[in-house]
Amino acid sequence: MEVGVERRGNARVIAVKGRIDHLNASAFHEQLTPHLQHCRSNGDGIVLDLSALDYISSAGLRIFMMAAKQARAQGGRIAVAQMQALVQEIFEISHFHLVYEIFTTTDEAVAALNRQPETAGT
Amino acid sequence: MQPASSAISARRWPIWIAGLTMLGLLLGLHATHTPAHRALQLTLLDAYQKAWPRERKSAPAVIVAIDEASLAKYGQWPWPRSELARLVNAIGALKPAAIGIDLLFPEPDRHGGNAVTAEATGNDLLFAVALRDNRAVLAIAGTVAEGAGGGGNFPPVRVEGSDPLLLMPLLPQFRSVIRSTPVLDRAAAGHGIISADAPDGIIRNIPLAVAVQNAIAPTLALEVIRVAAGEPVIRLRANADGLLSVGTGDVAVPVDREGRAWIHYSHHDPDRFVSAVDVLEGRVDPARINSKLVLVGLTGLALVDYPATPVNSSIPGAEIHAQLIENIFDGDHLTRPSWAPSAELLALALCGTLFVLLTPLLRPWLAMSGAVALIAALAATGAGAFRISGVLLDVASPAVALMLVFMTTMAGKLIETERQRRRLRETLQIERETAARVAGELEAARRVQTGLLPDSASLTVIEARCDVAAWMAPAREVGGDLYDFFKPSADRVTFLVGDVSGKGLPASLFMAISKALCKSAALRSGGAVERILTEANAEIARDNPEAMFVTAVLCSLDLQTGELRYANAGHDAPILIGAGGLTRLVQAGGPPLCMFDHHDYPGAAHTLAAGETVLLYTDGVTEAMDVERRLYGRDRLCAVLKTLPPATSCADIIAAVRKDLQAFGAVEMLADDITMLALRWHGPAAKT
Repeated sequence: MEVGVERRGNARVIAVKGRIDHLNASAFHEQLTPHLQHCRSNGDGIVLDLSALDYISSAGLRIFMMAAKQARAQGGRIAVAQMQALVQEIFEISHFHLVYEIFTTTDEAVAALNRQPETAGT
Repeated sequence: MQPASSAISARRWPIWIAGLTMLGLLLGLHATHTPAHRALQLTLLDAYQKAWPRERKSAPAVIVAIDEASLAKYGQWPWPRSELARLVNAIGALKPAAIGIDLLFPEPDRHGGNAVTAEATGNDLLFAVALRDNRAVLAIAGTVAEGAGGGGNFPPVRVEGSDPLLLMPLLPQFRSVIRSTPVLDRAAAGHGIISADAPDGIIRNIPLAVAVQNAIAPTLALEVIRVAAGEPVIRLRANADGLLSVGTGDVAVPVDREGRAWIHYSHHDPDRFVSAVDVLEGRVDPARINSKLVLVGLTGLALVDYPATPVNSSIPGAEIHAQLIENIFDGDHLTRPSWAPSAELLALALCGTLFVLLTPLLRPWLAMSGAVALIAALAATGAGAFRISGVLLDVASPAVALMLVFMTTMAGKLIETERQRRRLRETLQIERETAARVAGELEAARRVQTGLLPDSASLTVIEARCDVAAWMAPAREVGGDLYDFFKPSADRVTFLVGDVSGKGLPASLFMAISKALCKSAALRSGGAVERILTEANAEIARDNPEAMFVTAVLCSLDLQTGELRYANAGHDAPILIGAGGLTRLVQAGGPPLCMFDHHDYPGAAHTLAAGETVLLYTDGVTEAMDVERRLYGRDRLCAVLKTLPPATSCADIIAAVRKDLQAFGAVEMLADDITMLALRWHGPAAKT
């Protein structure tokens, strides 16, 4: 699992590569935490670019859920983009579309987050 | 769990205390000059002399030896004084600078006088005249016995820088002296002491001045120089601490505070000697005697005890005086300065403290190298001081003391290491016991958790319309998966499989709560699976600080009609195994329980045909991994299920999947909890 971060406007694009399972879920959480702190109503939005994420286990989903809960509590926006088929299926089974804004491309996600930052989390 | 063993480290303070105690003890011994310390010190100073003996540069003194040849020619000792008078006159004829007689004549000549009345004989008078005419110096021996001859008749002494009365107690003390008969004594031009300390038979130094009763007397060699130079007085220079030098005229010989001059010895040299018989018979080269300081002494082997020096195992006494004279003329002095003992003590204190403090901090080989280097540096300092400036430094006793200190600290280090090892062993034992206890508690927890799960026999024995089998393998002792099946009413069986995010003890606690709340909701709501999940979700989500969530699939089967109602909370869809193959019950889903505090879960229905089987499983099955971290996957699961004959029992279905998981090489199978539950409806007719 590797994580790359890029700022695009008010969005922090976090690209996750490889797999998130019980072995590295807590490491992933640690890398996500500093960005989550800025994900608030007048702060940055987060776009998780999952184009290179091959697999996510239930331990990884738990981190996604905690991230979504924290972002929502802070009034921030968090989105996922470019999911691979397997990850998309896991998301669907778990109904994560109910907590995450899902975009086909990272550009769309960035555009969406930059367009209406003030309406987030309401 | 942090092992307690990491907290154990080697203690340093016991080593420091042991080392400093040893050092203190040795410093005390060093300061009090014990015999052992003194012997060690002298051994080293002797070693310096042996290693680097003095080379003769000049020959200011010559010894006229009454040797074996002389005795053979002129008869046994003592010779008649007339013969000695002839010898002194013969020497005097060759114009020496001075003559010192390293012999004592306490009795009158027995060859022609009255030994009983000690009356001077003609021979004595002849000798006395010869002594006077040639300005000879006579030897005087100091003795600690009372009663023999007294002081007096010594050259005047001038003391500079101190009070003679304060200096006197520092000098070697003689209560009385043995001196020649009065007629000889009075005739001599000077009188010098020939006594020297030889505590272990080795003469290392000679007191240049001694105290005889209330007088200060010079040593023979110095008195000979005084007479040769025609100086009136012996001069002592001193300060408050003690003597600095003893001399006469231009000569000032450095001495220790008690007036002793350390002699830098050369090897025995026959060139220093001329035989008395050659002098008496005029065979000697006049240049050997002319202007020299002549010492007359006995060397006939049978006659005298030969003292030893650090360089010579035995040496005629007169040669020691001759060597002292050479030291003085060549300015080749050995000194043991008054600061030397303090410096040695300080070196020991500093180096010792360094050893004690550093040894526990360094690796053994480094500490050892450092110790060797430091001791080598001490040895080099001692040797250098001797060679370059003739300063006698005792580095042996500090070095030996340092070795003892080093051995003490190293021993302390070894003992401390051993203690640490023992403590580690004990701690390891405790940790093992603790681990065993925890394992025991976890084992108990596992039994409790297993006890929470229903036994398939409990249902199938009383219910012939269905067959059920379930299997759960926790990744650790306890797991976060759950399954349940029960009959809320006579014609209904409700069953579910769930998966708490995470595993181990925290997940197992959440699993127990989730299972209980699901069951109570199911008992309240009958076959309304959507209501069961909605209520269970609300109740489980109420207290969830750890943000855990549970995926679950819940089914409720009407045993009479075969209607299967099901609802899914973020879980893998159940697989329907029927005559026509496999079907997934993918409709009717919601998010995992606890994702939202309130969520209305939809339900769905599917009517089973008799003989159809529903398989519920957790992702531990499909996400089991082999060595190369490939997923087992649903496709492989389905492939196994397809190979099974239609009549395969639920227990055999699960056994087949387990067997295939093993065949797949799911080494990481237990990376996650694995649960499977299979239920087959036999149809309404099978009612018991």
